Amino acid sequence: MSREYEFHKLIESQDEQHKKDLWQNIQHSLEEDNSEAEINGNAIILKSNKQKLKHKIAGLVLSFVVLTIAVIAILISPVRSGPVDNFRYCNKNEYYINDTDKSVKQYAAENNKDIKYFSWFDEVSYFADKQCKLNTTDEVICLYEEIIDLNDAYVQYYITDNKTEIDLIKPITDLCVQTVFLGGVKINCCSHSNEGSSSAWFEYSGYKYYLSVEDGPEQDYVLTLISELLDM
Amino acid sequence: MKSKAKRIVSWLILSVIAAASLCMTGFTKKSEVRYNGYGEAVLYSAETTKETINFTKREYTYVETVKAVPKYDQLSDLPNSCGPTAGATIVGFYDKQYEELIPDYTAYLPNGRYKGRDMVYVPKLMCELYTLMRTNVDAEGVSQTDCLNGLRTYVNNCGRTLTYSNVKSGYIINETSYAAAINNNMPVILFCRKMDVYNMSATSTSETVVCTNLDGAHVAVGYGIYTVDYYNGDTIFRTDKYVRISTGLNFITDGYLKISSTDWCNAAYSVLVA
Repeated sequence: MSREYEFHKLIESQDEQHKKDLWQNIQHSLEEDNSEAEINGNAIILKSNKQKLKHKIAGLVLSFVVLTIAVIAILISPVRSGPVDNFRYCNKNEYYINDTDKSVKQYAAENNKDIKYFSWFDEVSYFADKQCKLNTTDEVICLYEEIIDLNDAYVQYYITDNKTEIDLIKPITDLCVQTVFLGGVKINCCSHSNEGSSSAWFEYSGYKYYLSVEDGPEQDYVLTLISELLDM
Repeated sequence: MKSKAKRIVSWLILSVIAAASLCMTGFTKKSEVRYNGYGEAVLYSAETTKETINFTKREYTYVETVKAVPKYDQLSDLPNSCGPTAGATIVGFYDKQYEELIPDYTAYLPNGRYKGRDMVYVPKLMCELYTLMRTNVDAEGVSQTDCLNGLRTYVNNCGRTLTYSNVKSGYIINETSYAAAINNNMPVILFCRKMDVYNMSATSTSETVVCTNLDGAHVAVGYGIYTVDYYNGDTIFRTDKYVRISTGLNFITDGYLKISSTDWCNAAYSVLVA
């Protein structure tokens, strides 16, 4: 800035005609450079920012238009179907659990759902069932059944659709770190320390099945049960 | 200026006195911890953490009461009822020896394993314990005193005696006392400030330990003790010890609590019914 002022003083110190010529030359130079500055009297000042303002307004308007189009596009486009888009994770605050006298077999039949159940179910000496329902809609999001099977093993059996995960069942998913394939179906499984105890989960035909077994006749008895469940 | 300074000092002194008075009031009003479980009326958080322990060898010991204990879970109709649920679990356990504890009901299967909660008799038992324990009367849930007294009253009303023995020392379960209780086929009622419920699965070279962190005070029933040593070559590099519990919760009916953790155990009593 001080340098520019010195230059200004230098021009002003010239005689009148010379000074006038100098300012005109500067004006011409600025116009050729398309500069934002202009000569006003004996000073160089910035031109008004009308052009810049026009550009800014145009930019804002364009941004608004683009944003509006994007929002409208999102609102009117059809919701994509598929498990990833509709996946839900439910915690205990969102559902309640009730006893039910309906077995998994009965529920599947009454609701026309292709849910797997054990073919020998009618022969068991003990079973108990629960249903897990959303607080807001009473939608059944999980079936639970515990059975003493024909080999005296204690079997816990949870079923959800493949778009739903429930917090209290998640530990089974975390524990089952091994993978086997039964008839092309990927089974995630694990063994527990207690003899005859094992767990597994798998996905089949739109549903997720989680099983935990205690007192099984062999360590990986859960895999035997899954084979029976899948009619293999 | 001097009077202004005096006013400021006076204000400060009064503030300190007022704060001290409030603190004293808080200290003089001591109330029992309430145990309200994870019923519908209670918000709690359940986060899960996972750890993998690699080893060259693993050795473990596990002891539990005979055929474990019943795995009853809370009734949705009885809010904040972890105390009555734990009480019912203990009554159900002893009903195998003393069938009058749950009249007209057999709490176990022919193979000796305990049944889960039915829809008639165990709910009736829970309702009665709910009342005897004064659940939700003074505040949400039960106090330790009411829980223990209510359970004892129920057992006494059935013509039996009930004895509690403390198995906690300092901040944690006394491992020796607890193990002795289990070895003598006595379940242990646990008053928990919170519960970090562990479950494990193992391969030949690693163990996966999943912990579900449940906030909120809760009553559970211990029935086993599990000790695991992890080896690197011939050297034990880690030992973990757990109590196995019937949680009383829906879905997570069973799990383990780490004995060495100092942040969960408020009280623990073995329960003998005779």
